[in-house]
This record gives sequence, C-alpha cells and structure tokens, in this order.
Amino acid sequence: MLAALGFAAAAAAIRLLLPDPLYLYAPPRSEKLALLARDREATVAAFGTSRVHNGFLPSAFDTAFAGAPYAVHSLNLALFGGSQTEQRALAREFLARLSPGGTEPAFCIAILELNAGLNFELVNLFHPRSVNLYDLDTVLFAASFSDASVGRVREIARAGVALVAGLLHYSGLGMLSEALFQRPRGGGAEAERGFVNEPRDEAGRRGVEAAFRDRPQTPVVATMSILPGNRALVAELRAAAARRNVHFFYLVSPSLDDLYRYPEYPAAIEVSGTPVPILNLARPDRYPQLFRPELWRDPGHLDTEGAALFSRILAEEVKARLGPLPAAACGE
Amino acid sequence: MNEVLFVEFRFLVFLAIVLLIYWSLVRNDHRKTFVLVASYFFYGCWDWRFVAMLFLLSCGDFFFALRIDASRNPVLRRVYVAASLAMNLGTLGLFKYCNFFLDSAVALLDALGAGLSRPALQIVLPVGISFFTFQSLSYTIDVYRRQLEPARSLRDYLFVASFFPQLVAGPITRPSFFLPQLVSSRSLTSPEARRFLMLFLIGYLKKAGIADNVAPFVDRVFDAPAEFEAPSSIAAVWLYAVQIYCDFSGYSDMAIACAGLMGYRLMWNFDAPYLAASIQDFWRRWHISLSTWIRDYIYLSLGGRSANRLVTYRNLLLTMLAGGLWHGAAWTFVAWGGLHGLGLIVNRELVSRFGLARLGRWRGFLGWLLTINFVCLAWILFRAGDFGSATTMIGRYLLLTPGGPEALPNWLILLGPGLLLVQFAARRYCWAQRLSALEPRLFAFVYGALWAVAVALMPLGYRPFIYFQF
Repeated sequence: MLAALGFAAAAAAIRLLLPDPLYLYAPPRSEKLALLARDREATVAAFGTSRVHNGFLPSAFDTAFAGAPYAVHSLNLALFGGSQTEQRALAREFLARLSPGGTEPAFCIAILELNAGLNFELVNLFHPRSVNLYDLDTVLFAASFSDASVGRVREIARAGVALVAGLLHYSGLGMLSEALFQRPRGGGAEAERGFVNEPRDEAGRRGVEAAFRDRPQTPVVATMSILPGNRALVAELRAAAARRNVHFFYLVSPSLDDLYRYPEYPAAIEVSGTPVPILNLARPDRYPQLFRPELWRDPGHLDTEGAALFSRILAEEVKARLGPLPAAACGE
Repeated sequence: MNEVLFVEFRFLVFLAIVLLIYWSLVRNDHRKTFVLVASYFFYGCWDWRFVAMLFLLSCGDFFFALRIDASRNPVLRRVYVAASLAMNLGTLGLFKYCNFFLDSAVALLDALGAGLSRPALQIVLPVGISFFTFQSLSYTIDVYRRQLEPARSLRDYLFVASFFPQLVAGPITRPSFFLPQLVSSRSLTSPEARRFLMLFLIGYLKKAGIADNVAPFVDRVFDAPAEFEAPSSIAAVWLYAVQIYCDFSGYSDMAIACAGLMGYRLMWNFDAPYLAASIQDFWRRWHISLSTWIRDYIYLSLGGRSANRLVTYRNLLLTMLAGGLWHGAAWTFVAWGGLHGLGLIVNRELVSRFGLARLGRWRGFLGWLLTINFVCLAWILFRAGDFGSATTMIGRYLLLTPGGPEALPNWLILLGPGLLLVQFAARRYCWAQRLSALEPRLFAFVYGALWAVAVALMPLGYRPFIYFQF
C-alpha cells in the first residue's frame, strides 16, 4: 500500500514537471503535429485512420475548390493505425490553432472519419501514441462510444482498454525518457502536406485482385448506428474551435470490404441543432468510379491515383453540402 | 511469447507467480522441482525448439561427471572429460561459430584465388548458449580435477544448469558454487528481501532507464560514422561504454536479485569496472564470472604464469583472444580480446620494469585515466560492425579526424562522466545499502517512488540485452 502511494506521489510529481504529453515523441503523430505547427495557413484538415492517411491528397482537394470565393489550403492529419481518440486529439489541436491568415476570408473545414475505430489494439497499448494520449478526458470520451448497440462484451472491452491506457498514462510510462532523450524526428510528412502513400507490393496486388474476383453480385447493406461519441466529438470540437463557422463533416472512408458489405448511414446527424453531413464514400453503388482495381494499393487503402480521385470526389461532396457559395467564412 | 526480457511486464508477472508459489511450498524437494519446471518454461518461451537441447546437454554432463568420478582409470577419466568438452564445445561451435569459420575459410581461399562459393547454412543461435555451455564445462572439469563432488540427483543438476535467472545471460555460476546451496531449504530474511528488491530496481534502472535510452544515439553514430563530427563520435564511444555496462551489469543485478529473492546466491559479476586503475584491475571488476572462468579453465590450463615471461604473455594473449571469440563470432571480437591481451601485457611490463611508485598519489588517477580511455577505445572494436567503421571511429577518437556535419546533442557528452561520478558517490556513500536499511514502511514508500522514476524513464520499445547474443 505504501509502495503504491510512493509510486503515485512520484508519478504525479513527474507528470507535473513534464510538458504536454501529447507533444512527446509518438511517431507518426509527432510528425503530423509538427506539420500542423509549421503550416499556419491551413484551414482545412482531414482526420482519421490509414484509409484517410493514404487517401486524402490535399493538393487534389484544394484544386477542386479552384474558383471558389475563398482560398482552400488543406492538410492531411490522419494517421495509420489511427482511432477516434487520436483523431479527436489532432482535431482539437488543429481547431485551437485555427487562423484563417491575414485579412483573406477562408473556409474552415474539419473532415472527421466516422468509421474510425475507437481504441488502439492491445498490442499498441504500450506505444507512446496510446500512453501519452489517454488522460482522464480521453478515457471519458472513449466511454461515450459505447451504448447498447455495440453489445455488452464490446462495451466492457472498450472501456477496459481505455482504462488500462489511462492507468499507463498517469503512471508516466516512458514520458521522462522521451522528455530527456529526445529521439530524432522522422520526416516524410511534409512533401504532400501530410499525405503519404507507399508503393504497391505483390501481396497488396493479389489482395485487390481477389477482392474484385470474389465479389458478390449484390453486396449486403449494413445499417449503421450513430454512437453518442460521434455527436459528442463534434460538439466538443465546435466548442474548442478558435474561430466561428467551422464546417464539420463526417466521412465514411471506403475499403474493398464495401464490395461485399457496405454501410448505410443517415445523410446527416444533428449536433446541438446544427446538421453535420455524413459523406459516405464507402458505397460502390454510388461511387463505382472509386471501386476499380487499378486505384487500390491493397484491399484497405487507395493508391496515389485513387487518392487523387477520392479527394476530388470528397471536395465535390463538401462543396455540395456547403450550399450556394460563398458559404460563411470562418471567423466571420 | 518469445524473448522474455527481465524489464518486461510479463517477466515481472512471471517472477511474482514463481515467488508466490515457491515460498508457499514447504519442502525443499518440491521447491526445486517447481523452479526446474519454471526454468524450462522460461527457456521454452524464448525458443521451445532448444529446450530438448538444453535438457540433453545437461543430462550428458550429469552422466559424464558421474563416470569421471566413479572411474579410477586416468585414461578413462580423460576420455569422459574429453567427451564432455567435445559435446559442449561441439554444440557451441556448431550453433555459434560454424558460419564464422566457414566464412573465414572461404574468404581466405578466395584471397588465395580459389574462388569458392559459401554454402548457405541457416543456423539459429540458441539464446544463452555461450553461458550454459561454459557453466556445464566447468562442472565436468571441476569433477575431473577432483575439486567437486558430482551431483547425485539428476533433478538437482538440471536445476543448476537451467536456473532461469542466470540461464540466458549469466552470471556464469559454477556448479561448485551453486550445488551446495541445493542441499537445504533456502530462507530469506526481511533485510535480505529489501536488499534484493533494491538490487532488482537498480538493475532495472540501469537497463531500461539508461542503457535503452542511450542506445539510439549510439546506433546513429556507429551506423554511419562518416557522417558525424569528432566530438559526437567521442560522445558515442563514451555512451556505448555506458550502454554496455548498464545493459549487462543491469541484467546481472536483476538475475542476482531474482535468485536472491528465492534464497539462492549467484556470483557477483561487476564491481564498478570503469573505476579500475589498470587493465588488470578492470578485468577483476568486469564480467567477473567470465574473467575468472577463462582464468581458471583456459589461462591456467595453458600453464598460467610461467618463469618464462614470454610464455606467460603467450598464455595471457591466447586467453584473451579466446575470451574475445566467446563474445561473438566475428574478427572484431577477436581483435577486441587481442587488444585487451596486449593491454594486460603492456600493463605488466610497465609495472615490472619501471615500477610506478614514483608517480605517488597521481598513480591512481593516471592509471584510471589511461585505463578508461583504453577500455573505451577497445569498445569501438566490440561495437563496430566491421574493421572499416572501427578504423573511422578510432581515428575520430584518437586523432579527432574531421567527419560529417551530423552531431549528437551536446549534453550527451557529459552523460558518461556524470554517471561515473554518480557511481563513485553511490559506492562511497553506500546509497543502495542505506536505502535497503530504511525502516520497512519508509522503504516501501521510497521503493514505490523509485519505481515511478524507473517506469517514466523506460523508453517505449524494448531492446534485447546486448549479452543475449553471446
């Protein structure tokens, strides 16, 4: 008991001495945060998992807005292996720093991935991306992603993982090491404003071939529910934004699983009386042009050409939801 | 489950379960059987394929020792000890040195114009093989020399040969030291428990808090020595000295502590080697279980100290070359051993020819300064992947030859000397002993607080102990 008390006292003292753990080294989140700190012009960002990390090409997205009354400068702040909790952390940083820049009005858009997972996988519990993130606030946020629709076992597992991660966070696991012995930061996130894609490989090519070869005539349609956390996230981000009139969108990112079973969501959800559009691009029936084998690096991820097309489609969908331009510029 | 490292959470859980069950058993027989099973389980977690090999080698040595002891015929005794040597060294040679010798032979024949291609052999190195084969060898040799009564119980010998705290990276605890401890039930007093708990934590801090934190910086420089400026190269060499010491002595501390918490004693393995005042002194303090092993079983077998100084030096050099080769199947390790052998010879010559008493009180300081720099210089050979990068690093260290523009953070150059000062103070003022001697409740609080520091200092991403590869 006394040993636990000693541990808690020392861990608390260490934690007080340290800077914000979110900014401790946790690749590739560190690289995206560094990109965000450098690129002060960005007013549009996409968040989420590897499907967005490999799929959202900022230059293609921005080009689709050519001719719009306001400039669009976007960033890809999604992460491979990302989750709702990490998406929330990055989006909060992005919105807190939001600065339209100069006197030019701009669109402020946050594109969140609706179908991102919640926690990290168990194997990643001891990774700084998990440990440095799970403060009490994040643990509570994770709890908001459980209701009766996810089932009791999943609910317990989700809360359990979040609690363990929270415990590791407050034990300060590895934080002093990172604060004292800062590792050299990796590069690569800047070339395409956070967009990174890898070359195709043989296993990926075979997977894509098999996915298209074995696809059923008629995919199953799965009606998905919106969890309390989905609404809570937007409400919280809206409150945290440094500018007014930030447009929030939920994106359902595609994968080749959608050839077999694709999700159906409502067109929008209400958050505090304001609708948040859901851009469901995981629909082979609506976007057949995205579901061509040559656009996929592997069954879960688009290749660069696919990313460019995906980003253009996404931009068109966003424009359509913004309504007749000019929509409200942020800060106005 | 593989590579169960002492600094991992699952090892802590494993150890806690073992200690709980061990101390709940009353009979010594039951305890020994339980620890034996736990040890084989531990080794099986690393690589279950080699469990049978460990078992067979141990059974072989158990059998040979009994035969050696029973036989009155000197020729037969020699045959049995030779068979044990062949079995252990053959296994070690096959798994650890086969590729090395093949590569070297092919390279030599290539140089002579034979143009051979090397046969592709995929040999997996069983973890800890250098440690447990040397331990087994000392058993049969000691029985042969009539310095040890052989174990009469196969279970007892299997226990000693596989005892999990020291199985994969030592200390090389000789059966002559360990077997007598198995006779009676072990006990553990509260002060002893506190001492071993503190030792485990110190080992953990050395390994996870220091060695694993400096390793990425060392790797950066040694992987691309041409790209770094001279001060960073020197810092990297000093940091490697810190890394290898904290890595290996940290493991040894944890191993000794694990055994101690079960009431067993293992051989002490390190005694502040970087405070040594001469190369001879260094080898009395560094990897003591190995240095005494090669002294007793190689140096003395070669004749040891002779009236003929050249013979003594030959024995010394051969012993150190073998010691170098024990560390790794590469010529850089052999060169490292050879360099230390030469260092020992020069040290002896200087002392015997000139005496160093006239240096007075400066002798200790100068001796330490020369020794620490010699040891660091030799570590370059130990760490460098090849002679090319070793030469570059030695050039930087000795001649400050210019390098590339890359640099390590400035404060890291002070880390090595700073830690040395901490060690000096810790020894002088007996920090560990004082902490262990605290009143139990205060000890518990301080111990918990120190664990918080250790946990916060642990870099996320484990690095295996350096000595597991030997």
